[in-house]
Amino acid sequence: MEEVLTPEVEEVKASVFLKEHEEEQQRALDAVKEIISNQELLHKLLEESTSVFESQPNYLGSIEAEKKVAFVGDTHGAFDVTLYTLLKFLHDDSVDKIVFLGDYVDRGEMSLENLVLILREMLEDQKSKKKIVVLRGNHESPVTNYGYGFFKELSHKAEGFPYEEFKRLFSYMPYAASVNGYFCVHGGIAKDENSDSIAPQMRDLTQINQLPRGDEDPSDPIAMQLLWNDPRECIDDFIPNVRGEGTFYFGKKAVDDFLNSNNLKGIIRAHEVKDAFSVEMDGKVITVFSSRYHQMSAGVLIMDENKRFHVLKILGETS
Amino acid sequence: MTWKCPFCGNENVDDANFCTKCGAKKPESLTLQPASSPGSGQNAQPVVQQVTSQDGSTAVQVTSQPENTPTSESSPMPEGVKNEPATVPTEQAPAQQGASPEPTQGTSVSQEPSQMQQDTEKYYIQFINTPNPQFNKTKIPLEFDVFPSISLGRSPENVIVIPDPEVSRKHAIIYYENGKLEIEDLNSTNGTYIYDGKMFQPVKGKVEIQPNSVLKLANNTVVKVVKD
Repeated sequence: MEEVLTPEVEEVKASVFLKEHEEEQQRALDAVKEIISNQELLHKLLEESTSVFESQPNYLGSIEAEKKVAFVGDTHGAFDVTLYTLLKFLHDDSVDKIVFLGDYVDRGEMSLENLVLILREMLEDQKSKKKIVVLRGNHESPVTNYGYGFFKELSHKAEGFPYEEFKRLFSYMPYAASVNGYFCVHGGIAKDENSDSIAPQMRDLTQINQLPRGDEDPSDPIAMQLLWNDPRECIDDFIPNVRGEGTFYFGKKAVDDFLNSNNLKGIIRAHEVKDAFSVEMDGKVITVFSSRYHQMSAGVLIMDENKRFHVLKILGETS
Repeated sequence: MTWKCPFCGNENVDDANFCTKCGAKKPESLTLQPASSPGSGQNAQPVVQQVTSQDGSTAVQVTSQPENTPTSESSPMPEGVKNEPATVPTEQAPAQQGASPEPTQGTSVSQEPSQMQQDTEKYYIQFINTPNPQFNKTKIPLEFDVFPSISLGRSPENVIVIPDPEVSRKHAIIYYENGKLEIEDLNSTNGTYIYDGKMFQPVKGKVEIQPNSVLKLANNTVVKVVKD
């Protein structure tokens, strides 16, 4: 059995870094504001971003990165965390990939800015290194947007109120990818509808590509679980999750079965409030949480060139 | 000065040691020292402790909890979810003596240890999910050698205090009789449920439970029965 390594933690303050990069920060903020205030520019951004997602499969496949990889969990409008990550890693040649694990909107006052920043950088990046991976979270959906703030925020901020366009954009975002032997997904692995075992799509990940495209809620039960499920070390298989019908907790046996079936080392996911991160099930499940609203630290998980994990713990700041 | 309950957000008067709304114990960080700034220091990970008071009652407690820590990211889907009980509880239980500063139980509890049980099996409940995720994985012993039956609920006089505002003050009771474990719902507002392998079924009357039984108390607390 492989040794379980607790990631090395480095505590940082986003504000200090951003102050040192004040000019770039201002440029990014101005560009985002310009897009939001201009109906045509926003429409163009959404159209082009949706085209990118439409051209991608639900499962982005197995990505092998030789250099560093950064994983970002729920940001939920934590614009400073997203900006910090992008400014720090996007133009750093020692970084191969930046994987966003979903939940860009809701719960924060700068959800729209946060998402626009990610999409804008993703479009730029598509023309060159294709470093940025954007996955879907459970909050990229009308199921949550009406109740958790994004719908309302958009109605205040964007002329023409293009929520339908956002819904369409969300519905084509990919659900998962594998990076250096780690399955990356917002929530977790899915249960078979008719048994206690993992779903067939979890034994052959390419079957995720057969899940319906443009699924807004999503209404497909497997897609729903990929976005909503949570790990629980003290159970074996699956039990219903308190988050609601169709969502499950997955346990140790399910994780082992999944990893063995796909010859994978672990799962990197987000979705649950953590003080930056957590490591469970002997290092097989890593959760990274990168938001601000929970008033703890925001985490960015780094896999280095030697495939060892580090966490940048972006400390909570009052101002 | 008041303190804000980390579980339900209720503002409590400073000398209340338990939240007057949900019954959760006041975090020690608020009594012993000023709330540490979130995320600072080496010990940023909150410590979950199981506290056994003099009378033997047990509660789970957070000792280094940042002020205003919200509950879990748990987002029960607002629309589209069927069969979910109301998320806002309307507790019907009569107002009791209010928050007692210390658990004052003891008089009604038989202190006779049932030696036979003590020597044989030791059962626990383990939290799979609670509104405060720091309690997940916490194991609490069912001490039938001290208590003839184990009451569960959010008010402090219970043997096991459940820190969940949707759990009733006196929610359920676990018996150990003739080598059998049984649970009974105490007419709680949001119910007690047992997982039958497919879904959570409401507990009606006394229902036998076994090691690995998974129970749900109200909407957000899920526990598993564990045997040593």
